Amino acid sequence: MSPIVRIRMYRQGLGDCFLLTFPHQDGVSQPDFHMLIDCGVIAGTQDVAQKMMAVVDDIFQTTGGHLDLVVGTHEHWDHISGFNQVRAVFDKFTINNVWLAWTEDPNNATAQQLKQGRGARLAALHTALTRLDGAGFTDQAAGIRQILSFFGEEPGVAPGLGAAGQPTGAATTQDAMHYLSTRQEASVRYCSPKDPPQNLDGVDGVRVYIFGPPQDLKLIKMSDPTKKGQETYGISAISAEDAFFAAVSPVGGDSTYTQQKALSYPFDAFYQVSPDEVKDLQHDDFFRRYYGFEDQDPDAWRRIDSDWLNVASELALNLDSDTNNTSLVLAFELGDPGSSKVLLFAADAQVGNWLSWGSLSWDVQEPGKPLRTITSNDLLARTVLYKVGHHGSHNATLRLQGLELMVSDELVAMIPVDHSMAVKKRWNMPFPDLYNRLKTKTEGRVIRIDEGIPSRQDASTLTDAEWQAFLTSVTQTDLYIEYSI
Amino acid sequence: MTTQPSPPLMHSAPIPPPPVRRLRGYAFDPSLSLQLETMGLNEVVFKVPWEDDLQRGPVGEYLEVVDFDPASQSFYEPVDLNNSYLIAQDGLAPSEGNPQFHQQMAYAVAMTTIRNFEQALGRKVLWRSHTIDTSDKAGTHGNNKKSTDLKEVFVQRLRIYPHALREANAYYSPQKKALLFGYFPATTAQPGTHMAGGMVFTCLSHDIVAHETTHALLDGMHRRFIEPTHPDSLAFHEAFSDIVALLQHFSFPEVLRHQIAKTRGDLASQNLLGQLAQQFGVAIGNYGALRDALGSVNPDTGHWEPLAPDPHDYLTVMEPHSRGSILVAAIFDAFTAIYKSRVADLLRIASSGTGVLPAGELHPDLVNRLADEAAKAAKQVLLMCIRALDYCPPVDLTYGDYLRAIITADTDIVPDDDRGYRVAFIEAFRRRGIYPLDVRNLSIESLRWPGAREDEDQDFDKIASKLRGFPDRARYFVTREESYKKIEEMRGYIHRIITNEITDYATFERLTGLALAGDSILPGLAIGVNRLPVFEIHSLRPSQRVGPDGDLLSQLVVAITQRRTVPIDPNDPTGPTFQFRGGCTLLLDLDSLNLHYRIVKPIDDDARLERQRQYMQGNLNGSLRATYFAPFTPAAMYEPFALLHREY
Repeated sequence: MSPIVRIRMYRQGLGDCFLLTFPHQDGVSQPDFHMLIDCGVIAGTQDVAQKMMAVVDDIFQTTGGHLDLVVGTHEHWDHISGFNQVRAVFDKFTINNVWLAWTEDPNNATAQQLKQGRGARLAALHTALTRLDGAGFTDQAAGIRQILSFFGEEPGVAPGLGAAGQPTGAATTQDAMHYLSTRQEASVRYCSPKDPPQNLDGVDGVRVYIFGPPQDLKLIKMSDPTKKGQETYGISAISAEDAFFAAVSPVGGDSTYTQQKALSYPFDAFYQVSPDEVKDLQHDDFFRRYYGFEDQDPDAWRRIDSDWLNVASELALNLDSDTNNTSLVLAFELGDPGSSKVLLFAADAQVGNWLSWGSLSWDVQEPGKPLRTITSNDLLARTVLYKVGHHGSHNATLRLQGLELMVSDELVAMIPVDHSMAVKKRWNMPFPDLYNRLKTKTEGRVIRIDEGIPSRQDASTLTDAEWQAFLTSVTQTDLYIEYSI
Repeated sequence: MTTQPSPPLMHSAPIPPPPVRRLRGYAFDPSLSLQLETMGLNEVVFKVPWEDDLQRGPVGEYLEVVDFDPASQSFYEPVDLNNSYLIAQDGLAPSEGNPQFHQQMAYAVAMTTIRNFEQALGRKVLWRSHTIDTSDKAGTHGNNKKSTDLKEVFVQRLRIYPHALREANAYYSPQKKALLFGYFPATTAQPGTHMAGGMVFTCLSHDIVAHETTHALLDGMHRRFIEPTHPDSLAFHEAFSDIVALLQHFSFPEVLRHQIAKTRGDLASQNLLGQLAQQFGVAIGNYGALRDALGSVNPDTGHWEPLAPDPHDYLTVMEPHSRGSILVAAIFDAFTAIYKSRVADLLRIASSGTGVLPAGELHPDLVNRLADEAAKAAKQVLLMCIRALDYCPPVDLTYGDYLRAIITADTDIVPDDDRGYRVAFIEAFRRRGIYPLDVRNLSIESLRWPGAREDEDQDFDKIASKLRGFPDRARYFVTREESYKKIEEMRGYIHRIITNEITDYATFERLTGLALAGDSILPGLAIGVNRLPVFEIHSLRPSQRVGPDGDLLSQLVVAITQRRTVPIDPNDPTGPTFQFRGGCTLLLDLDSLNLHYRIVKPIDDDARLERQRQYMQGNLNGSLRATYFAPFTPAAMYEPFALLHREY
């Protein structure tokens, strides 16, 4: 009997690229349904052009150059870089549908506000980075730079290459997203959890539930479950973050923050004494003595010229997790509503996004069947494939209200992680605690890009029959790992 | 303009210097001045020790306020507190818009905190010393330097930067021996209580200044406590700093009376005394204060609810602030129990035995008496908590160790605990599931640290006898710098005694938890050039206190430590490593030459090593930051409190 679905995780590196194929069922003469969820790899990957080319070529071969559906989950480089890097090949595909999150919708005012804010913060953070570097905080700056690499290569760095080695558009996530949303022949849909479950053209019995991103902006901004209190933003004339960015931005620049510079000073101009005034020998020597301006001053080690810039790391983290929370999260129900297996593709959703699922439910009316109300928790309980969020980082898999609700004993996890790349960036992926829990819950059936299919020892709690069943459902090559259900 | 005392004339009595300098400030922070109910009690006069030659800044014996605002690229002129107009008016009037008032307030609160410490410890406080790297190896963040490469230098003054950061943060920098205070525009979903966009200055919050100063004071006494070896490590630093800030609330009589009247004497109910950093908390979007020792606002109902102690929290809550809250709640719990026992008779009298106080407001006399008792109880609890620091191990402190320290320290001072203060502490800790390891039961006798048997402690007698005169001589050191230098000398002296003159090494090692023999086979133990294990006289503090029988006790608190370099992953011996430290704190009685107490963390304790290793592998604080910025690396340890405080 043909499998219901084949899930192919490409092994390009630290990044998501999943080809889902719903093969035509026996006795039905219809082409297979192919969909692509994301296609990207983290900035700084070696031989990125070859790797992505190999991946997309394979997709072309497998699909015959036709994709029924392309999903771009969120605006991070490791999910959508391929649409820039191998654009020449993507140009040759025919794409029927494109699904993006409502946070990409040009006609949605909130979405546009979010996007603009993101752009301004990114630019200001790059400025802060330059200053941190200049002040010698290279370690911290490097850490922040790695986070910002989720938005693409740094300004000025060449993007990937298309056919014939030509640069293809700017190396930014904005550009890649724009490419997807302006595909001429495709019908673009901006998805939201309020939508009813979607059908896939020509695939019977499968419906897709949209779990996220949440409509509630407070949840998009929520990245840390331990923080108590209400989320706050946007009410005052200038926020704390804005005040910081105003300080970082140079005078006379044209960013949104320079206009707020005046508002951001703590005291009236009357009280302010500039460094030049203080260095002037006519001026009282208090600050020359106690603060000092020469490198060889005995108390130079106590200066704080650049310590204030270190909050940039916090702001970079906020920016990263806000974007992660705009992830388009999809759950595929493979059969009768309420009783069949579920695939969960959570993109990089973090706490706020996950928490929003709890209140979701949909009414499903299959022809000839009674009306059923399906809740998200119900779908989680029947999840047999979990695409682990954010390469196995701690914050992208909620525990009690997430992973622990996945109670199917057929659960398999796929983690698009390349640990050695993560180590190079000094990231903790996959997070050991989470990884162990995943191994326990799946009884060892965790498939990683870098390590491939687990070994029999890793899955020692499975019976021989279960192990055989698993083995026959997976195929592994250098280019991809495929799991069939 | 400095006022000089007028030259003594032949027939007039000399004018003594004033005992205190009076400086106006906020008991809490500016926000309470904007509410009718609290405006009367928000402004207090801090009475800080008088410094004759206080310079502009202010710059004095312990502190130097240097007002540089790097984000604004701006300096703010230093205030001269000896200006005669200021002296006559108790300093500048509280003002959010005048940076000189900010300098005054930071100085006043920090000095108040220092004074409380000195009172409790009976000696002058010293800041953490500055370490200079004299080797030619680049970088200052590594832990693996040879001890001969690093030179320690005395740091006279803690530096305070009132406007150092443009963020909702404030922290103590162990590297710079400085307090950095931030400021930020408030963003609040409750504009009714705070002007949206109004500037919030953390240096104007009594709680935040006291909290940060306490970090510095604790760091000066126990410099290894900032190394995270156990979930309790950083949590303790946070909790202890919170406790000092909270208990200092009780030294403001107006505030105390007001809150006692408001709660009708029930200090376990919602009140300002148990809350920290109101303005900051509201400004960052909390439902109230940043932290509350007694309860919290339920986000669903919007009502304040008291905190119910849950013993499971200690096993499951790992994030430093939340974990710190457990200790703060325990100590506050002990305080409320002590307060209740002290006022039980007053309430009996006031309610005529019914236990039910008359409705409406309490009689002002009753309020005053209750306030008195509360102030006394708070002072005693604060002293107990600070004195306990001398009875702590030098490394790897846990909450259980701290409980034992509190009990032991108190036993030394108060022979007859008829009010049951010690029991109040034990009970409060027990309710929260905090149990010291390796004690048989929670009786006071079991909790007291052990000493040494008569027949075992000859070597300690030897050390004690050689150091006999030290605490006495210490009283005559005129300056703290002199103190510091003498202590350095004594440390070297004791090191030589231990290296050369111990007669029974086996017993000495067993009692101190150190490995001193040349043939020690402990893996990773640091070995010196003389092929003997390296050990450090980590600290030395003279202490004079009045003992249980009323006589003067002359004690020496000596801490000795060693380290082992151990791989984080035992299967990867060449991979990343961590420092496992061990040693002991010894309390030597210099009169009787006895070893009173020894608080030991053996260097060969493999169970403890395993616990530390698991902690470092697990990184139980699984924040997003922990994903991207790998912990326990030099970069991550660079400013431990900055990062900690960014997560509030």
